[in-house]
Amino acid sequence: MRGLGEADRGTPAARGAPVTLQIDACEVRVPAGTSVLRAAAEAGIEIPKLCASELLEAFGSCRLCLVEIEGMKGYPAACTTPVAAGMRVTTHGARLERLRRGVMELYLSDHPLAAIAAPAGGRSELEAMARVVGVQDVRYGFAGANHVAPLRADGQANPLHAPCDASNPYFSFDPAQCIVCSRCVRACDDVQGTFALTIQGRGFASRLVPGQDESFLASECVSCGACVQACPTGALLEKSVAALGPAERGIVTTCAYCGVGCSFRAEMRGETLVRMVPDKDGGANHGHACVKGRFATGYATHPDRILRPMVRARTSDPWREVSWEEAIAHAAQRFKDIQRRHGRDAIGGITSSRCTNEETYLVQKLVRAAFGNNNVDTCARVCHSPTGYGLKNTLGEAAGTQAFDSVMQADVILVIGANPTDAHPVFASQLKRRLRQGAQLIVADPRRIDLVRSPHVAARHHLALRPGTNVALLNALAHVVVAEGLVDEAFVAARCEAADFARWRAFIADPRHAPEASAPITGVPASEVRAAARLYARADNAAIYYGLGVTEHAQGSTAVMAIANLAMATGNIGRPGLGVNPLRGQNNVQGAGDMGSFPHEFSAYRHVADDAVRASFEQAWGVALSPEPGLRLPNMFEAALDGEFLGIYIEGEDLAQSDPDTQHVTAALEAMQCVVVHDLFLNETARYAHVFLPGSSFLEKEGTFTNSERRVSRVRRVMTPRNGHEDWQVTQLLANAMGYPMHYASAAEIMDEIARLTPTFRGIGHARLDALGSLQWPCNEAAPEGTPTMHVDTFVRGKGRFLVTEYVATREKVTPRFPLILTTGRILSQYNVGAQTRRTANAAWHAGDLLEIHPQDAEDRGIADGDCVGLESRVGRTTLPARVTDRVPPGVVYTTFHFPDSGANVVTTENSDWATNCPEYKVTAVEVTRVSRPSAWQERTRRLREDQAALLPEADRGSAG
Amino acid sequence: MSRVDQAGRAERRLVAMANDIADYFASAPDRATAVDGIVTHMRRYWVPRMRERICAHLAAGGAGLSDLARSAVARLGAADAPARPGDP
Ligand code: SF4
Ligand code: SF4
Ligand code: FES
Repeated sequence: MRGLGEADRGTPAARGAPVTLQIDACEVRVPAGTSVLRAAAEAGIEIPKLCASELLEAFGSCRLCLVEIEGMKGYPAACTTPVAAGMRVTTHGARLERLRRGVMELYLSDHPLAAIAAPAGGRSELEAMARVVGVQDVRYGFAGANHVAPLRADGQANPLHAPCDASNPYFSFDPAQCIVCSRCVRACDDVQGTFALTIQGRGFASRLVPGQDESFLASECVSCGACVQACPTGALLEKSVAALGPAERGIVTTCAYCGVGCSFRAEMRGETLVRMVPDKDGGANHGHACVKGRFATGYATHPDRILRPMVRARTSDPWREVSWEEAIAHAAQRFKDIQRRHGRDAIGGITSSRCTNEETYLVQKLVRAAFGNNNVDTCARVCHSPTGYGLKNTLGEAAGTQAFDSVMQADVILVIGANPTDAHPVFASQLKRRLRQGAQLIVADPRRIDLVRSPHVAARHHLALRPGTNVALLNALAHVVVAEGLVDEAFVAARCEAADFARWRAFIADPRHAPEASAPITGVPASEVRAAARLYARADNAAIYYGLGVTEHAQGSTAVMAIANLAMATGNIGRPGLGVNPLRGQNNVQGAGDMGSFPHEFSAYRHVADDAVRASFEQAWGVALSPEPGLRLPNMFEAALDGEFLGIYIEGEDLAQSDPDTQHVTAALEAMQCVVVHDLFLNETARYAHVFLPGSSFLEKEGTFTNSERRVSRVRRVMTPRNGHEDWQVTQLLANAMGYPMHYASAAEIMDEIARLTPTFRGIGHARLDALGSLQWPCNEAAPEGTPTMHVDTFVRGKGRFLVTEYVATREKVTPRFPLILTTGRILSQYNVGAQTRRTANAAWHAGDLLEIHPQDAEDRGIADGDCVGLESRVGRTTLPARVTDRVPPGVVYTTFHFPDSGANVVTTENSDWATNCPEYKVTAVEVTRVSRPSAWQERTRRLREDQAALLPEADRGSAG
Repeated sequence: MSRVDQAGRAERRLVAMANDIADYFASAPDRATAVDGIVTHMRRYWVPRMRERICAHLAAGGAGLSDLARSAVARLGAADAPARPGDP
């Protein structure tokens, strides 16, 4: 069922040159390639339709959209007929109406309206069309063969009837209401690209089947919901709509999960969210979504939410519920005490890349202006800080170069260290669409990720490199480009620094970078590397997409530079269809960096030592600011253990689960005197907290998020904050209590201040976003409509700068004791530490973390699929179930970190990127053994979790974890 | 973890971080540029207290520091000052 109040023009927009034609009495001008159906809709003429939808290519099966066209025989279907100059179309008339009624009657004979209309709450398109076409009765009667009734007229079981499939936790499929229009099938194929649905049989016997005639849940369906949105009858229907009834109002907002940043219409009934419908006009998603954003919103109203502030003197004391005033005063007092006794630098704060730009900006302002130091960092530290460092130093701006739509013009796509079908699903669907159109794919990843081979998509090259050898592989690719004369000399000469390029060329041409020389390091055959390099370099448009598999390494920043070098050397920067595209993990990772969450940078990545920039903030904020960088996250933990860093305000992050070397992190938290956790749930970190400030979910506040393509989109308050305050208001209370006055009346005012102080945001404000939908920064006088493609004529830094990228092997080496390499990642249905998704029905797909291990390695250790195994590194030990699979190569094991109990980060180490201290999550030397009981850490942690649960106020018991 | 262990650990982390930075800058065209790059990096990204400690560690013998890192820390100690905006 389509979104509330959304018009559907029947077929997708076309891009051709304008064409003029006549439809009924109207002269219509539309781009060539537009269907007659859409052209009519744009002129306000509604032609009845059933199988067509704006989100899908036309199919032409229902024959309801018949029209007459001068000079054409018969009655062509308006949805499949493209416009032509001078065409004369008639859409209504007695003959057409009679034909359409006939079509409709045939449908209704098989699908009685009475049975079909009800569940969609009066919004069934079939019902609406029946009304438009003027059919109420059916000449054929309902006694004939149909699949609606469970019993035939003679009382026998009806063999055509199939029961409702309610296996999916979020939607049901009732075959009795299906008119076999195949919109869902096409949505699954064309929009999502999963190919899970088929129509089986013919005529009256035809029916929709998921997978190999399985239930929806058992099939390969990824529960993106595109089919549900496409269904015109309510055969596929959200269970929430069935339970709550149709919505009354829709408010456009932005998904709070991943860095794709999908736009949604939150459909509400009073204060209750009925469903999320992806917005057709969303710049990042164009009406598509994934199982997280569309369905996994139940956490907002989950009983585990803590809604009242709490304090306690020691972490072994019971929590005491207090008023907001008391909690804030308590936190401020303790912070001030610590500063008085241990110095101004003894406290700091963590901003969240899940919170809005406005909230993030305010937390860093709190730290710099009210705490009086630069000890502010963000979880972007542990994911994409190398992107900022690497791209700023080569291209001049710490951000991706393209819009997502750019992929539709790419000819060759290199995906390295990213798993978009799991981690960035809506972008992955667009990418797969481009691949089905013929673009070539190169995947560089130790694992055989889904993209390597999935229905109608196959990578030309899968470079299955050893974890930790990205730089060696990227250097080998670049070597081939230089050695085989594939450099775009004209581009390099015009756009890049000559001396740096000359130095890089000499460096990379050295035989030690040849694929033959690096094969023993990377494990990738030289011939594959050469072929991939040629494919990439010779393409008209070649794009690189990368993720945390590039950044979360000891050489993360170096690898990002190597990617920028490769793109510059081949001239793949500065137009649509190519570029360097970091895929950000959490929704507002880009924004967190942009807003100045890093300890050494103000907004827009300007160093605190820059006197002019600092002066602008000092003037605006009315305080003196420190020119020295502050502590980064890992440095904070070290300083805490040294007794020099004792108080922390943590907004929306779960450090004790998401950061590496968990036992080190928890020891650091234990060493602090005042830990203030501001979050939705009593997370793992809150066990070490002295003050708990309840947070608000993205449904409860105003603000903006910035996605991976620098797109700033609005987040809108669709329900009252259950905890009483939007998060920026809480930060403001704390600032005031610390003695630094803040008086923002709205999030919009905060954005206005950001725009005043940040050159790349000068043209961004809530009112403009409300009018334009979204804006990609830089957005200012030079680019009032924003900047989809960066570095078009010149690089942001002027000339592009090649940097030498020597491969340095990680310190983390396999040994006889730890002979395997562990690498970590994500899965579609869960998100990061899982605090939200674990509290939804998404557990139906992934109820716990698993350790993927190659059959050979499993056999050597006597491990069978499903066995409980111990995973041990030099820093820690945990246990989890094994999955034996050849998706991972021998010598490599893989897991996710969505569940606190399996604690993948108990084993990850303190190793980090040389430039940014981004942890080396992707490489840990481990051993795996069969075990029968949980590790000591798990037992301790479970006990601790139980103890902590007992310290909660009565009403909140059972909420821990 | 006792305070003593931690002191050792913190120093080891600083040394490892300094060596990692030095490894990157080792491919600079000459030693002076490499040392310059490392010193600038530390000034831009390390809090004064971390810079102080690594200098103290060098003064106490500098165990574990690579050759290049050692030269850089010596330079850092000689003239520590806030980073300048134009530095890489
Ligand atoms: S389930 Fe809905 S969309 Fe799919 S074929 Fe049936 S009626 Fe059409
Ligand atoms: S792809 Fe990302 S932004 Fe889009 S709905 Fe899914 S989680 Fe949300
Ligand atoms: S809408 Fe055109 S044939 Fe169905």
